[in-house]
Amino acid sequence: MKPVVLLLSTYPYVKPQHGGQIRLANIAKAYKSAGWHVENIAIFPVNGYPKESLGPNDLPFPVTQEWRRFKGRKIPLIDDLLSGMYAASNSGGFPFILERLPQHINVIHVEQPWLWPLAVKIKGLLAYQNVRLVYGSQNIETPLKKDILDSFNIDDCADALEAIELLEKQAVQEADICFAVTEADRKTLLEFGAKKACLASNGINPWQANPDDLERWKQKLPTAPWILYVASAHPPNFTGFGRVVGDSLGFIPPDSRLVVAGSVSEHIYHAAVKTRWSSLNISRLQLLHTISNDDLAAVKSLAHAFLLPIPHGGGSNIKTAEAIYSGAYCVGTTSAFRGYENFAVLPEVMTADTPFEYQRIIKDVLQQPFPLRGNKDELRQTLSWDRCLASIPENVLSFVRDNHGK
Amino acid sequence: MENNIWLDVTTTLNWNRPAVGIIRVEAETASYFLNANLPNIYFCRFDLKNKEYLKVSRGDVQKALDTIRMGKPSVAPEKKDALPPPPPAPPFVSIEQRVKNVVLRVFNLFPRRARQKALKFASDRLNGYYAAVRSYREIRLAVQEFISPSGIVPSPPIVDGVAQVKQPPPFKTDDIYISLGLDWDQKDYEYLFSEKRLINFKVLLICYDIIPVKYQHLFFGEVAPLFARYFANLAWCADEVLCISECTKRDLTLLLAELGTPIPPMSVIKLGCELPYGNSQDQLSPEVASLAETKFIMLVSTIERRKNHEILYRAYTRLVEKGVKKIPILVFVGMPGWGVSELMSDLKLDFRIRPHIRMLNHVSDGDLAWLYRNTEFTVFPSLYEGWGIPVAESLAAGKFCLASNTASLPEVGEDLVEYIDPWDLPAWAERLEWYFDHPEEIARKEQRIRNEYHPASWRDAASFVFNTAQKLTER
Repeated sequence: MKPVVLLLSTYPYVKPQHGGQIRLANIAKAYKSAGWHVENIAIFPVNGYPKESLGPNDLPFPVTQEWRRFKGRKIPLIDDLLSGMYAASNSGGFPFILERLPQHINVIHVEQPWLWPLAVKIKGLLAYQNVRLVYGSQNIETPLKKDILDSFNIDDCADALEAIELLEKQAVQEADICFAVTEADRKTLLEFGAKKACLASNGINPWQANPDDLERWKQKLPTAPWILYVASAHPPNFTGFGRVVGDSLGFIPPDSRLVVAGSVSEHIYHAAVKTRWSSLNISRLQLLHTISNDDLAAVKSLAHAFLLPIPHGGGSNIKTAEAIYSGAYCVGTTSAFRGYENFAVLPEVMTADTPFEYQRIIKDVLQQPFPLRGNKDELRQTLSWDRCLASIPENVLSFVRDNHGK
Repeated sequence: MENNIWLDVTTTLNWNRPAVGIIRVEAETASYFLNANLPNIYFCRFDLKNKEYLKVSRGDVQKALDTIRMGKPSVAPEKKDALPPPPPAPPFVSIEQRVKNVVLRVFNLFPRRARQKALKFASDRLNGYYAAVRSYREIRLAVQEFISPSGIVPSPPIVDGVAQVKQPPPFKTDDIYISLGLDWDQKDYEYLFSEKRLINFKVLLICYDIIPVKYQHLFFGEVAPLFARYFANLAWCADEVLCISECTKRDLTLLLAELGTPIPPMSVIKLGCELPYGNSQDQLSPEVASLAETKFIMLVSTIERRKNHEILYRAYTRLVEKGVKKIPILVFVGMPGWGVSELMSDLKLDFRIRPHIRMLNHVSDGDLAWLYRNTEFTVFPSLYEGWGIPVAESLAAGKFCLASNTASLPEVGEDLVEYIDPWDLPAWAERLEWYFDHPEEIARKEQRIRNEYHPASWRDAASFVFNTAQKLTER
């Protein structure tokens, strides 16, 4: 009989769009490829995802006041924390979840700490008392959440941050195995008291653009070399944009553009127009908003350079892996290359940590020919999800076998 | 094969009045290029609507220069020499400009008092008006996209992008293209940059000042974002930028560093300051002739907030109230511009000052020459300048000037001019009174100016442009 893993997350992964979904989808794929049966339950934000992207067991986190308050207060941007409380509560989503649990579970893999209370509650049931718990860290969540709340000037949230820290440490300490996306995060998890912490980096799905799509996008995008920024509307993707890149996009030549794809587009537009240099900035932006994966593959294939303006936080950025894999110039902060430090040897990978450095490097690369192909291709191949995540089912299976009956 | 030098004369071709300021720079350079028997010189113009550079014949340039000198409307360029023929369509006028023209025509029908109120009402609501135009465009775009979707989500703003090229520019690789005119209105540097990337010619541009970005509040509406884009594009296009003062060079360097653009090499050009002296036999206008029997000082400039006419008005009121006798008439030579409606109203209604201030508009070259010859001295209290031609002209006419101490003005007047903080009202009142009481000191200063001041000629300025262009061919 195939071993069974139950994946718990705060987002569905049927049609992955943002980084968390993409990682989860590839984790599921890695388990399946290693012979596991995979079940998934996502507690997702209502209206956050279209119907066609939901799995059969996914449960919306309702908008009712009762579940949207933390200790009776409305604190924005902590729905992920609240959704875990909802999922584990008998008066919340737990009865619904209980109906959908498979009869037999070997492992519950919780991606990010938010649904850890649900995993603990399931393990507390007699039928699932032998279940092993796996914690999939995507970041060190507490400082990241603090940065997000600070960037929106949200006060009166110290107790919420404390609850997040407790939850994250609980997940790390109670998990039989933890997986981290960077070596630095892995060390942090061990410091938090992890029994075992392994590295499972973020990777990429090698893409091949359709020739028709390529031709169509060539017509729409600048003929001069241009730089691409692909990101979701996750706050760190835009709140620090001006601080990282500077207020002016004057470093982009007049016939080039900063092409922005993904739901971050609208936020970048607002960041660009609120400065004194709005007309200049708008003249250098081309916003594509959310586009299909086929279109994105074409756009990524045509980019001369990738912009990776990640200001802070832990974890690693899937977009960085894609950028490195593309062979185009990658201009990013030190934070953006976290987890991919060994790719710094590639000549097209460039780090900038001040607006001045960013502007100087981008000005330069947009006037250079495309980097030579073929250089260090073998190194780039190590970025594929298959190779990055192979360690998850291997380590989990080995742990389950070693601890069978314990 | 030798490289050609192309001088863009778009501004000159579109001008039909006597040349002042920027127009004069381009026109004087064109005149020099035409007549100095220089090799490999060509002329061109830019058609903004069709995004095309077109060759202009020497004959057409000469006609345009003659027209400017005579102050008559310009004649259209000869079709046979244009490559391709100049388009018959009228010049492109934006919807904003068209509506503005209509509104101004309507306002001009109002009685003067009502007109000022209407203008104030309209100008206070300018942002609302621009927002309405933008909304109209967005709605139009939305309807178009709804009916025939282009398949790509457009950016929220209207992005011009790179224009469809109908006819390549007449420049070839390593040619030099020079533009000295009203480029923010008449050129498209984004198009110029894309053509430069294709053809690899060299570009020599000019920066007069960055005041619209640095002191936006002294302009009509929110101009800083638009001009920042203009200067950023200028930086990307130019192989060298001529700045009209060290002050402008410093300002531009700082701005470009802030914008993150490349900082091209810059050199400082000294503009000519020869007065367009009319014939001494010319008939004076009655307004100017009426000054013949009286003492006067003058400020030559458009009447606008930045030029700070207000400080002189206030200084004069102080002198009047103090009981100072024999105050020379203060003559404002120039047409009223934006932002001075309250000052104009004060000047009209303030009975204390009415006998002491006079305004002269549409002054001919002959009148201006007479005014410079006969003024006691000149004043120039401007808040900020890229150069300060009135100070240079005053010195060229042998006249002392009391000027503000800001920006480039000390470069212009060196130590032949006395400088005062433009906001220091007591100082202006005190120094004016002092010079009214000490004509012998003015005479002494005039003597020194005659001995020591060497006015720059327009020929030297144009020659500097040519030499800079030639050096570019060697880079």
